[in-house]
Amino acid sequence: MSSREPSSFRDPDGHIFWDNGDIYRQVNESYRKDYEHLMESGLYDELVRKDLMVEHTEQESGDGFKLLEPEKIDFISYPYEWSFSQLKDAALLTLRIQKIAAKHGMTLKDASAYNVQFQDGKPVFIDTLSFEKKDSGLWNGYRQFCKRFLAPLSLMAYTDERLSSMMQTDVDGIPVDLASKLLPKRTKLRLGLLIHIHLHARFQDRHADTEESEEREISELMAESIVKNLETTVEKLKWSPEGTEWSDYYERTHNYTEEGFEHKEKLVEEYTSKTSPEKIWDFGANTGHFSRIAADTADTLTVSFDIDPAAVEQNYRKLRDENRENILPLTQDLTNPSPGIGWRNTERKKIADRSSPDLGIALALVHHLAISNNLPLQKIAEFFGDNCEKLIIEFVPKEDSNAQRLLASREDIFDEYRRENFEEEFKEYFNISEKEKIKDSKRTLYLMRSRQK
Amino acid sequence: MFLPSMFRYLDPGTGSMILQFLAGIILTGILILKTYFKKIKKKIKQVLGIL
Repeated sequence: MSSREPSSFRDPDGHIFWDNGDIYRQVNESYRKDYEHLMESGLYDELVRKDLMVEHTEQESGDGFKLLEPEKIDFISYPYEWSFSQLKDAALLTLRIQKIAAKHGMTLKDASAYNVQFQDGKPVFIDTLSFEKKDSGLWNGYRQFCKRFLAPLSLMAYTDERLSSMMQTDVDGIPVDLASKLLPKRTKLRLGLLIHIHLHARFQDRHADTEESEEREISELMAESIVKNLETTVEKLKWSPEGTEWSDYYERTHNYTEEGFEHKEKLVEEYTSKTSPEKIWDFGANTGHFSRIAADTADTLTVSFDIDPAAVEQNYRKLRDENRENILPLTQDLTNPSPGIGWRNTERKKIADRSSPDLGIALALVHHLAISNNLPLQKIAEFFGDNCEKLIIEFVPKEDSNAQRLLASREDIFDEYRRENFEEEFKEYFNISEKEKIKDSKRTLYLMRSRQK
Repeated sequence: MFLPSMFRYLDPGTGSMILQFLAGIILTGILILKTYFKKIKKKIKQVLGIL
């Protein structure tokens, strides 16, 4: 059964489609010359050799000029789910590719952040049809780069990291005039931001109605100096969450004794190995400590979600330092997950439409959902029942000091929040295979298996 | 070509293209100045016998 990828419609040179779970890219006749140049100039080989772009194999062609089967990405994620450093690394990858392409007489015809995905812990370029032969030297993807990468990164660095969510509101990136308005005035003292954001906004406004213009070309040196300057500008953007000591980030937020913590680690390892999962989602993963245990035990990718951009940032920085390939950290608010956006709300898919895990992990999460978000246990059980075949879940009772902290500033209206009720509600969807109290704590860890799947 | 060609699927934006042209001039100018500055500095150091 073949179906066209809903997000693949903008480029007339080809499109992506799915056939029995495999992904293919059709290349149209219009892209023949550029494709041949990409393959014959050595550009494709260099990008694949350096792990900067996905590899593809040419298949027997159906319609069109070529049929390609690209390497499949394990989990599709979007820029508004990435942490600051993930977006920054994706931006630097795009610029590096533009520089390498120039050496081979080509240029990127666009600079969409959606052309980058994370595979094996690193950003990788996925759009084989993004290359065209150089003509005037001017970069057609320049504006898109500023909207999709530079604007959100500078806003996160200088204004507020939460503004990355603006990329979810506008599928085409953050308009540079809006970024210019929201950035503090002092950013005008930064040459790169002055040119690529503030002056860029002025020029767009001034030439909004310009219809004709003279032909103009720029030299290789000029084109190179623009890309170099964009690179320096992006490299200089920094974000470190205020008041967060990276090294003790996790330690500050949990209340286990050393023995209790080790016991929980052992249980997570044991429960994971009993389920032999292929796809793991860790909901509320914090900085990914237990995601790592699960990923290593099952030797498979664990998508490591957390609502806190600081935790996701640390998770990513850590895996980068470790050269780790089996963790994908993403920002996600379970009470308001990524929706479908773009054309007919299908261009960028909601999270549940992208994949589903065979093992879900929810550690120290249920009390946040139930107490901070007033979610009834029935709804929480239904959510996990709908999404996970197997589940490792921790119940944190009200007596626990962390649950007490959540109740400190509000009236306790959660009479139903008790372990017996929790088990009863989850039994509607799961069989409880294992259950053990975590040492030196009031918490219980469960391994559950879906009753339906 | 300064204007987006009809064959291009992405509108690069007229203002963006004009700015890019000027940015190219400014940034290349800076680059050249920096290179000369470095050369002059080296020369002065040589004359003063620092190197």
